[in-house]
Amino acid sequence: MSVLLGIGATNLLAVPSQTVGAVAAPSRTALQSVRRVGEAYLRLRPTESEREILRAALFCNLRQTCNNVPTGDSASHLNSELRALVEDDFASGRTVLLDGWVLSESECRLCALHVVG
Amino acid sequence: MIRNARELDAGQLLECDICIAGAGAAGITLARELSASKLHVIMLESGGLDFDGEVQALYQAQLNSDIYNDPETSRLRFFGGSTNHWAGNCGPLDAIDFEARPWLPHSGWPFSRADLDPYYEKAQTYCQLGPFNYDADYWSKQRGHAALPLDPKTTITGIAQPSPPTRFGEVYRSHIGDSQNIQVYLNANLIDITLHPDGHRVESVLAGQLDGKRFQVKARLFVLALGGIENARMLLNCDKVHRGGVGNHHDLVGRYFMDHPVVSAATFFLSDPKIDLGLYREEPPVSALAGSTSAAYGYLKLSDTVLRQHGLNNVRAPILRINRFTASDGVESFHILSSALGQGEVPGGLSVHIGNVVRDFDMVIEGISRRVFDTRLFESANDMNFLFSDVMIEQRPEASNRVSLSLERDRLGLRKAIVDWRLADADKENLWRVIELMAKEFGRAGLGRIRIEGEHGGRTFGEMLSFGDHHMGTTRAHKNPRHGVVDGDLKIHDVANLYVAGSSVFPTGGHVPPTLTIVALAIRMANHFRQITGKR
Repeated sequence: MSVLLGIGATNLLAVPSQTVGAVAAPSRTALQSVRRVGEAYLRLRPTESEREILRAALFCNLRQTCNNVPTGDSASHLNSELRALVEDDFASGRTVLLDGWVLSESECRLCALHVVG
Repeated sequence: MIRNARELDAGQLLECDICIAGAGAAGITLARELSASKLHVIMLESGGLDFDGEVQALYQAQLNSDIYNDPETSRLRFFGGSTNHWAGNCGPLDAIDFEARPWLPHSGWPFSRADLDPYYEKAQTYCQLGPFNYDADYWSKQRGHAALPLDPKTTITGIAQPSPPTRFGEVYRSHIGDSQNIQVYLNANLIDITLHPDGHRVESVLAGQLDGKRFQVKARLFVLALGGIENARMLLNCDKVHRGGVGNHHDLVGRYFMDHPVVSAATFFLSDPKIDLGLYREEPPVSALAGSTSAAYGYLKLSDTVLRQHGLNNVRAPILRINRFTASDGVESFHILSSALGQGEVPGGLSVHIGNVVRDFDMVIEGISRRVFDTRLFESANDMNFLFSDVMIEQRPEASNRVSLSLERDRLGLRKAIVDWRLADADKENLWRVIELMAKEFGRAGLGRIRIEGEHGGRTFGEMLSFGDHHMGTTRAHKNPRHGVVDGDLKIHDVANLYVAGSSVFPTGGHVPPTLTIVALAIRMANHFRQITGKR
């Protein structure tokens, strides 16, 4: 999770990277896993293969509205919101089996964001 | 009394109330239970008190499977049977395992878990276990470690108890040897079952040694306790009265052969390394009971509700730790290189193996040091790398998995066994589905993620597979003779005085190693014998 949130917060959601001090830099192997999962998710749901669609899908769930996609939230705040979203995914059964991983939809979208850049 | 059958005269006739063939967990328990009765018991054991390669070779079978384990190595044929090398993992089958489950063809025992509970309780003592308590809350308190906070409506912590493991041949040898009403004959192989011409009663059995000497045993009751393959092989071999063998009117003997496949199926990634997994470690509790080896550890399983809802077979997922040394690719590559180069061959993927060895050189040195000098060098070898699960699965009973007879004969003149074993695709799908459901609950509880280790990355299912070597199902129990070889008393249908003990009577095997159930069933059988003979 920390890998996913780290990538999500720094690279994918336009949060300034200097605000992410609490999250360790992910290893190369972890990034490869994230990429594999992301690619598998995009194969499974090709309609979400654009960055803006993925971001919007994440934040529609995160904020219960699609009109408030953030550009400058602090990493810690965003991480806690993403954590809550992931927990809610699992509680609601919104999980996806990808590359052997049983992940929440939001985690998969974060991985997919890593792939689409 | 324990005697050597070689001392008997050729053609000698022995008589008793009960003749038990086989001195493994089932046979020894049955004999010991009857030791205080007025019944005269003769027990025939193929082997002696120790391993003998010539006797062991009687297990030779033709395996129609590239991956299944050879019974010549997975069983042991001397006093104590395969308890001479068993691992000792114990527990009762779950209540749901005894039910006829609509989604699992051929499931359903002729009695319930509740019927067996009194015998399970006594079986605990035979296997030198703690109390007959498999409740996770109880053992959490005993061990001082909580169970994982999973929703019991979906995922449950099951409990296993490890036997020392009890070597039945050693532990119960003096008791049986001292019993006035028990006579054990070593080096006494069962060779033939002589039925009355009407086929409904055993009159006697023929036994003998490898050197050719034969003797006969007459009894009121006969019990086959030879093991999951050998029980069927013996019944099939005895085909003088019934062409298909004893008890085989409906072509069931030898069919529905099952094992407990064990699959390296899942890796656990904890959200917090401080999550307490103490209950799941195979260690004895702090408060071990006096005079007992009381211990227990947890594993994960799905609730009955989820099994019913999704129509799934039972599965257990222990949580195992693997350390840096055990997980070392370098050590594995070193072994592959050594083995291949030792035979003058160049292994495939040479550069990968060399790379692994170079990258993991300290663990390679650790391995050499352990093997050559019996010395450990690097503390980091014990660093925990990750958690994984060797998942034990309930194999569905399939008629095509079977023990049948080869044309080749063993030294006693008996036709050897052919073993057909394969794992159905439905069993694999069942496994992945179970792990997926567990993984969802693991994620929901915030404990981390579980990765299903399927056939990806070039890894085949066969490479993930090992076996419990628990031979089950070949003389399955069912009230209806069209569906079972033995009835609820474990007596062969239509044969008035021939019984079968051991895991061959299991119609299904759950996810639980069978020994405790084998012992419980043997105690129950002894109780039945006391009742029907009126000799207590």
